[in-house]
Amino acid sequence: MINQLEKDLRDLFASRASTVPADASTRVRGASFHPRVGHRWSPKVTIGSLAGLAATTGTVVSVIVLGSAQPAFAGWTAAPTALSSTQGTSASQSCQSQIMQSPEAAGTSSADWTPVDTDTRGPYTVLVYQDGSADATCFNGPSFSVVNAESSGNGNGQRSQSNSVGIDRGSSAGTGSGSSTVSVGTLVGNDSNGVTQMTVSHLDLDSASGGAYTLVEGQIASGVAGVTLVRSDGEDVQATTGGGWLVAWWPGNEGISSAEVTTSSGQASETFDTTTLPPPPTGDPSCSASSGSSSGPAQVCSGDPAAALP
Amino acid sequence: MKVPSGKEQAREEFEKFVGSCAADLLRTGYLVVWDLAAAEDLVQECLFRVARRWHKVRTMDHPTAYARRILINLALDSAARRSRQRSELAHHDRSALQDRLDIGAARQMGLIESRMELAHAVAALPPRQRAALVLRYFEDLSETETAEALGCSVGTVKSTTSRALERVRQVISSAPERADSLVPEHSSIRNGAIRHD
Repeated sequence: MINQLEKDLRDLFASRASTVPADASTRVRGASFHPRVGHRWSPKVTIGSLAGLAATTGTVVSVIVLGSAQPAFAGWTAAPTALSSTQGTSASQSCQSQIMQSPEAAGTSSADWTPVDTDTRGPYTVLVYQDGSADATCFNGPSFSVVNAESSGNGNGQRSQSNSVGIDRGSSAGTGSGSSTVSVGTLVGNDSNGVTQMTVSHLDLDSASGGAYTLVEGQIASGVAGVTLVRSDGEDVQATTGGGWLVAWWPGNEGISSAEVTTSSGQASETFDTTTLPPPPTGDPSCSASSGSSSGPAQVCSGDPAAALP
Repeated sequence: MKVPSGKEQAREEFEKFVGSCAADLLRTGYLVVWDLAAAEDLVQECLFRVARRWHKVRTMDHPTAYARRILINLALDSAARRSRQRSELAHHDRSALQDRLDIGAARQMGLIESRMELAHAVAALPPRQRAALVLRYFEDLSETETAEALGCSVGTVKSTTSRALERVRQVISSAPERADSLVPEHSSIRNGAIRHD
């Protein structure tokens, strides 16, 4: 016999489960999971083999174990992945809503903001918007959206930055249950036919969303067919290019050292003076609190990008 | 006609698997962690883990049960962290939106107040106890199936479920004045007997 309390529990669970919105399921299904279908060596086997090789040959082997802890931003890939229509729709809606809350969107409508580049890596989407006088970059994940808005053109030909960060943690948790630390700097390219300018942002989401990440966005010459960014740790990250923009991001606070630029005439390496960049966020007390945050405190440490410009 | 390769076939099988079980996993995860954003993260992590082992999982008789077990493990492993976050974000968890959802659900039964008390009592349960109730009374799993999902013995499932029901009853009855004034006389929330199976 089923007693009444058990029946009430069944009703409660069924009722609460029915409140899960359809787009939440869509978001979950929209990730690129890349199922593994063949056998691969486990990290233990690989490390053991390398150690054995070292013992045999007398070579010093330095092994970096990746993924030993819970992976931040699970599903991230160094090369862009395809964007599904459901993921694109979800990201676009969330980003547009978030952008309209930023100070830079004052006096504009969502129709004024045109997406110019979209970078997708697994379940994460970065959308770059422009409205003519400002740019906005939206980083969208399974349960969050972060917007960096940047005003351009301050009357004297220089580009002024006004970064605002907002975090939308999804419908159930409400808005603003997170914080983000930002360190922003601009790199100027030395090849007018390659990468002309890049903005490097180090951000730190709450650990539930993935933790620290680095976002790179920039302008490229019209003849650029592709850009691969070389991080300061030597790893390559392929950027998404389109509409005169490049976009890439990666988990962690690794910086950038150079870019491999592909044009119709071949591939060339372009280096940057990274000394103009502020250091990644470490709780620097000189950083000022942002008043432009639409939700929750944000800390902004900006270099002097205007001074670095020609 | 192009014949799909083994890799393509496996990928199609996985996509079909995700399409068939993602919504169910999300609902179960939501009830276990009681937070939709956290549930979405957990289900995605769960599916990533299944994807990494898909060459083995695809040969299992019940891949959904395997995924559910991973989900429950993930939910319970991160319970302490979420518990800390809940205490820090208590106001967000009991947001006006969530209250409206609970009230909306309760109105359907005409038992707003008693339903709210029950929801709060379940939300306050330790994650493992809530998981046991969800698996037994939402998933309708047998005690044996629940034991497999929780990775414990049938006896532990019985005792965990029993303690959870007892705790729910105690929490509800701990506010007698409010319950007496709001809960209908016939409601099991005031009078419900607990069956210990």
